[in-house]
Amino acid sequence: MSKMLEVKDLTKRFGGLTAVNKVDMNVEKGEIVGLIGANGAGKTTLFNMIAGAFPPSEGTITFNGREIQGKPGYEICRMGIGRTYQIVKPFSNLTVLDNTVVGALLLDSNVKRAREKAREVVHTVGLDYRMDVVGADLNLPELKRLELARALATQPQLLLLDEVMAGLNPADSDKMIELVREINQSGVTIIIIEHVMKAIMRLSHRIYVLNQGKLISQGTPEEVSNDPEVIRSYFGEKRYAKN
Amino acid sequence: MKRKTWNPKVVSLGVICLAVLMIPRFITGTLTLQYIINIMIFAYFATCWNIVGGYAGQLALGNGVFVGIGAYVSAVLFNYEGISPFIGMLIGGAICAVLAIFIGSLTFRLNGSYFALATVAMLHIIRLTFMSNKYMFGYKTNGALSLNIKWRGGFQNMQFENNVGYFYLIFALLVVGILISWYIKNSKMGYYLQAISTNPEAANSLGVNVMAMKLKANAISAFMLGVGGTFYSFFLNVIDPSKMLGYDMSVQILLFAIIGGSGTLVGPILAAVLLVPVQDILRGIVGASVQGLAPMVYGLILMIFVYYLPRGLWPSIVTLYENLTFKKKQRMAKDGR
Amino acid sequence: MSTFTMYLQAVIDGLLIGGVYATIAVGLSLAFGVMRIINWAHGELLMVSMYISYFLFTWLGIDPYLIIFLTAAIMFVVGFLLQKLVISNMLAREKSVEPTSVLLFTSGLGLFLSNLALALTSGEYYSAVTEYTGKMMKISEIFISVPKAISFVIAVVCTLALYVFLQKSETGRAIRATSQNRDVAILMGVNMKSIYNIAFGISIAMVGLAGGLLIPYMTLNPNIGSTFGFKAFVIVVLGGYGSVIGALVGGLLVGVIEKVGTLAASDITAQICVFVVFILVVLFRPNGLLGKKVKM
Repeated sequence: MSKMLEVKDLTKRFGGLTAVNKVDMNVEKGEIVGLIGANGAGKTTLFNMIAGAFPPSEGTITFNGREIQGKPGYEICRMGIGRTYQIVKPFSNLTVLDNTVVGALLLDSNVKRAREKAREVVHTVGLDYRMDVVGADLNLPELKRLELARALATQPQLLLLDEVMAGLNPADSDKMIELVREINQSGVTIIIIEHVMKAIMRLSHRIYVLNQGKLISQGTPEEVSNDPEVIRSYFGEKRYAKN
Repeated sequence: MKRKTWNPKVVSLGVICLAVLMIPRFITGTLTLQYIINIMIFAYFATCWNIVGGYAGQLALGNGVFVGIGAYVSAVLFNYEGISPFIGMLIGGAICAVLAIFIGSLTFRLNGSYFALATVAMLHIIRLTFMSNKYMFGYKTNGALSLNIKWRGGFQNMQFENNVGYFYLIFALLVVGILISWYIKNSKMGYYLQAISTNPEAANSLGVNVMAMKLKANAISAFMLGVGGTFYSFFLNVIDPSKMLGYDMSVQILLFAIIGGSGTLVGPILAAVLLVPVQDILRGIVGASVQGLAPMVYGLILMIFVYYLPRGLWPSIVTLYENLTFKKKQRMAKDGR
Repeated sequence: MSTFTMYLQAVIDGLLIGGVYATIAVGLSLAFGVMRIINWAHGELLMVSMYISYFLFTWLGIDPYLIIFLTAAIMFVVGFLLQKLVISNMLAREKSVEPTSVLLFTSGLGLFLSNLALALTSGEYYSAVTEYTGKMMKISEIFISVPKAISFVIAVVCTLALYVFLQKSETGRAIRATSQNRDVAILMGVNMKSIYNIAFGISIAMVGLAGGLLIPYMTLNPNIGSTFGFKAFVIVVLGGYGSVIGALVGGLLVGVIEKVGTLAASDITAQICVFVVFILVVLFRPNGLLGKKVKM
């Protein structure tokens, strides 16, 4: 299995605050890699750098052998990295279908074909019954799926999921976990940030743990949940980790 | 695959087009024709502005200045170089497009309100520059005074003896403008512009080069406005810089687009059809002695619409229609499953 | 007159008008700083204040410098009601942080007001002839217009008074708290709606004041709003939105740039300069020349 993403010494400083501190991370093709850590640990900042929202202060990000740190977001998307947002960003006055079409147009400029592709993707995430509903009228679980559909429509090789379970009840969470697994099985490599431990433990092949910008542990879900460092920074979450 | 049946929208459009083409047969009054030409030219301008202002959602208050620039370029090339306005308009349009890209690269970095103000500042800089220089790039443009367009007559010079010729010409311009706007709206660019208008950050993460797309829209809109400026100035046979490069006309153009429904194809045209005649009607009632009545009414209507019907006239009509024919109820019944 | 004297004269003239510019701009700065409202009709409201002051003076015959407070009071009510009845509803509807619907609404308002004035007055120019009009003082080589000087002093005093009000008084501090951190201010018991109403009322009251200050020496016509309007925006971005002292300094600066520019080049060049300065500041120093970050 080849190394798809290689993050070396990645650092981000905002004024006096070091949000991400010399983080190393590798993602192999086909994996689901989990990224966990307390709030403010730097997970979303890490994602933002990989996705091109802003450049790192130090370090490199290599994707399929090419260095991508500092490149703008739209270029990184075109290279094959998609992302969802922690706080959903739907195109609120476009329908579910049209939202997804925007993603699909990346690879096919023909609107008619892009719409067909978008229909397929909407079906994959299970939102067909809401195909013609505008973003403003969707509820949270639906918005999360829409976020997923849009990113999927760009046919990414690597998908960054930022707290895609947040705000979902247990039933919806389970469905989302299944969906993420299906997406991975269809060939998409995934990095997932989550606070919902059940999801991360069930889905991830490997996990990285961040605390205050630094990498404090990595390994399989078992290894990580038994790591005293992790337990210390996570306290009561140990209960969920055991699931 | 369903067999293609006649789309009712296309049919009704065709009927409207034919009806409009027939107008000069029945209406021979020069003044009435002039009123209709005014409607059409402003419908065209509003449609052009809508590409940047409506589709892309950028409140470019100052973009009307491109009308004046296009007008001056083709007038100057016609007067002094003998170049036909049909070629002059393309050159004028191109210059506007380049200028739009330059201005946009600076202004599009700014957020909503600052962007709007910056475009107005650009308008005034250009206007003041024209009005304070009797000569621009070696050609006499008369500064603050009006520039007359030499009369040579003939179709190739866009100069007709009576209004009928202008009528067809400007109608053709309007049709082309609508077609371009329609094409953009349903193309990849249209989708991307709408995405940018609603949520540029999300658009970025889906592979949309937001800045490049905005510049493209600005350039196209400016080109079209510049071409329209040529048509308008040759129709009037004179260029008054305080008007053609003025803030008032720029605001009026976008006023129609917003009241009608920015982001829709029909909106700007509908608003122009309903509102442009207000000017002429008011003048007919009170005479030329009372100035400023029409813009006053426009300002009032803009306020009413922004407050009560912010989406604009056309979307509100469509929603009303949908409510009345229970289409919404049907759609919601489907959703339950 | 030596060149130096001419330039000194220009600087002084610039400062004198600049003080009034500051008064006009400070209201705009307050509205933008506290409520993120861009009042595109600010210049037209100034024009309205000038007409009100003119007619109060012509009909009542009171000293124009006493009328200013009456005009300010009237305009306070106008601003208060505008915010309370109209703008607040639009702000509530707007989802994004920057309310462009208010910008659009006020541009309609501006269009309406300036053409209403045009229709009512047929574009006639009005000049108030007060006992101060036309009087000049001479200090060594420099001529100072008396009404301009008096207006300047009152303008600066009132602007500073506003500053003190915002710093010391309870309402003033509530206004500042709201502009810095809306949510915390609400938590501390500030009544958001009434603060907004008062702030916008003050914003327009300052414009009312300025209108009265201009009557003794400025000719009145319906278009005068647009002349002052954009200048006010330039001053607001120069001085940093929300900052009273910034508006004061910015106003003086713009006044001086204008007069010196007119002397050095031409009237039109000076005007173009003002717009160019706006674009430069907005691109490179959006938080004002001083670069202070005003926390919202």
